Amino acid sequence: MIWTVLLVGAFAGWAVLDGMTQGLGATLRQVGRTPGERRTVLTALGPFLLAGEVWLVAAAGILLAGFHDLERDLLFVAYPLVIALLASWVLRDAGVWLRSRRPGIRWRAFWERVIVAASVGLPLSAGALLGGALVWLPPQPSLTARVVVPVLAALSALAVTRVLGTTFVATRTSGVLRERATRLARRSLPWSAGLLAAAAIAYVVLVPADGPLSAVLPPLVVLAGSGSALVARPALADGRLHRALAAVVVGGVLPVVAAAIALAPAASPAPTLELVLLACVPVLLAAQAWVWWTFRHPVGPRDAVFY
Amino acid sequence: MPQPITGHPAPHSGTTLTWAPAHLRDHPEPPPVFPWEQGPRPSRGPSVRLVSAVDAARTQFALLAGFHFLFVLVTLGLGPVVAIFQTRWAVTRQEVYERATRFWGQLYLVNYALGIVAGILLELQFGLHFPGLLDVAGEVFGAPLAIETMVAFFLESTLLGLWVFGWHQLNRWVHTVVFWLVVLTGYASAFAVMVANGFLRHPVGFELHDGVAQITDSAALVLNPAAVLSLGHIIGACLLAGAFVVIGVSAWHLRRETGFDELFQRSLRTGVVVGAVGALLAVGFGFSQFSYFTDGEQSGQSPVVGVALGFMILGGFALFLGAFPMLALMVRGALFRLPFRRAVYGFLTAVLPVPFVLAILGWLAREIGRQPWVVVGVLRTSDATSAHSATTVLVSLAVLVGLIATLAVVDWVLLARLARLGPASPTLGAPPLHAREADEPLTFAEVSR
Repeated sequence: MIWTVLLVGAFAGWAVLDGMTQGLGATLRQVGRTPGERRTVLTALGPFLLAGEVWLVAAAGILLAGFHDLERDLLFVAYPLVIALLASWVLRDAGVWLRSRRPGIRWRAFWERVIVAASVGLPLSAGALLGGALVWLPPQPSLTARVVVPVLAALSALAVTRVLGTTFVATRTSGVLRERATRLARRSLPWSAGLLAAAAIAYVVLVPADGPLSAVLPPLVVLAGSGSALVARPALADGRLHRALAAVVVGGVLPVVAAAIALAPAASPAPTLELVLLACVPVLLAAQAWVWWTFRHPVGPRDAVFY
Repeated sequence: MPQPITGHPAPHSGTTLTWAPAHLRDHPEPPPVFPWEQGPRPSRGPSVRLVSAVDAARTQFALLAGFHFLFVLVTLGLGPVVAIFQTRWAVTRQEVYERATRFWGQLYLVNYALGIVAGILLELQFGLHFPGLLDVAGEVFGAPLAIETMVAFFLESTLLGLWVFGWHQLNRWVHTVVFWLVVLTGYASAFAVMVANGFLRHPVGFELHDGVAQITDSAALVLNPAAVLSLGHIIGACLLAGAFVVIGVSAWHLRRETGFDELFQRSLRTGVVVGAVGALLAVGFGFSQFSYFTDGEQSGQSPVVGVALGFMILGGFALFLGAFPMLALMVRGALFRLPFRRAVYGFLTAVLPVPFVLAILGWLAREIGRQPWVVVGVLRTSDATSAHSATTVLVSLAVLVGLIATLAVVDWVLLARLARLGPASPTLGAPPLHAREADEPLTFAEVSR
């Protein structure tokens, strides 16, 4: 049980916290129209790049130690997706770290395009991987289910990260950048709600139900997507950005948790390790809370520029 | 004392795991997902092709680990140097220490960027290509790696972000402590990785139940000489690498008289002290590792191991012996007043790659020296490798290694450029108004909060 909580917590944490980075990266050149604006957006990202991506490193560590069977099987059937996820992750990071290390319009524009492409590829491959885990382990009898569910999951992940990233940028910037990010977030919200609903409905229709959970989880996904859109859209319009951010974060977490419950990974128990990891969780959460609290304001003259 | 191992067969007892249950001998594969995947799976044994899947998987791992290792050496070696300079800055408030912290800190970060992405690729290699290792030793081998990723690395990276972007926001003492914590958690990461790697080399603290290894003695696993002694050796190697970077770059600037003499003389001095400590640790712990080698391991090894080990030992001795004259030259800054100092500076810059070459040789000796085992005496590498075809593994090798190799070269060129530019205006820790290019006005820099 502890293992499952750790795994789902770490993966859901990555999905929304790094999801913000992915959405920010994918819309970098839409929100920022000049090099200076783009650098401002990257400064808004700042401390949250590392603080977000560590969650997936942690999730992979938990998978390795507590879920050998799941890791082995998932990585076997979804080999190309895992390679795509890794490659886009590497390129996204390289883009953010290297873009501002040299002056010059061409160098910077090149790495910005790398960031955009990789930030689209990352949620697509991660979403497909999660959707694939649901219908490939074991393979569903219907070929349609094996193709449609991962595709819709990938597109949902793309839309959800776009909403998360633009709402995050709106919260962390001011002036024209905030306006553009807010507009993009408002425009993306119906897409994320619609795609989540489509993915959930496809799952219900194409995958035979087993047990009461399959009756509860897909509606939860639909509810999470549309509910968060219904709260976030007016909040964005009124400029209540923290409220909007909270709504889209909840809307991003719930579908991941629902998928994880449906997957019901079986842990291989290692009791000593469980306790050690559990004892460390408060420290880890405190460090994360410290970062998110320190940099909760929109970027201003006191903020350090690095990326 | 290492614990006795139950179910530990004598090395070289056979080519298959005759004592393991059937499901481990023949790895159960999930059924194919798409119709076009049906058909006979290629076997994982040596094939008639040019490259077997086992070789491709091992090559991919070796290349990715090699790249990762080169960046880790600088992260762990340069970290203490940055922390020392930042502490001096916090205590004395002198501008030279602030500049030194920002200059070396920026090199540390640009190097860290690639270290982290190479590490991410490595973490999934076990599941992608060596699932047998997880089947047999997943619990034992996974435990230290889970601690590494979930605790040590998680804290290291989270706090590093706080350090970079908290420059003008955190109290200077808190800011200094944050970087020391980054260094500390980095070393904790290295220890956890060495516990995992030490288990492969010298498996202790476990029992085999139905062919699956379970931890019976956590203390023996953690205090494994193959982990602790090797960690000492690795820390020495890292400090040497960090020291050579600091010494080499400082000497370059001193030779060219770029106008930061005080900063680079102080850096060179710190580098020599750190390097001397590193040489002592690397050589001392290096030889102590022979204590856990068994006779069985020495025979039947690839000749590469002997050559790599021999060169590493010779090189290590040379660095160790070189530390004494260098320390002597630091007395009252004698080096900086030598008549032929420019030649010495040139030499110190030229030898910058030496510890990196030696570290790679040492790593090759350790990893190739373990073959044909992935866990010595317990599991053969060929029995742990996944059933992917050689072509599949070669394609992913080309994608991932090609990516990392390209990015590594770009990163090294950038590091060299930043090192040459010197400490006049590092981006790290600059006020926003100074951190921009002429064509890159930062919209937020002028606005008040």
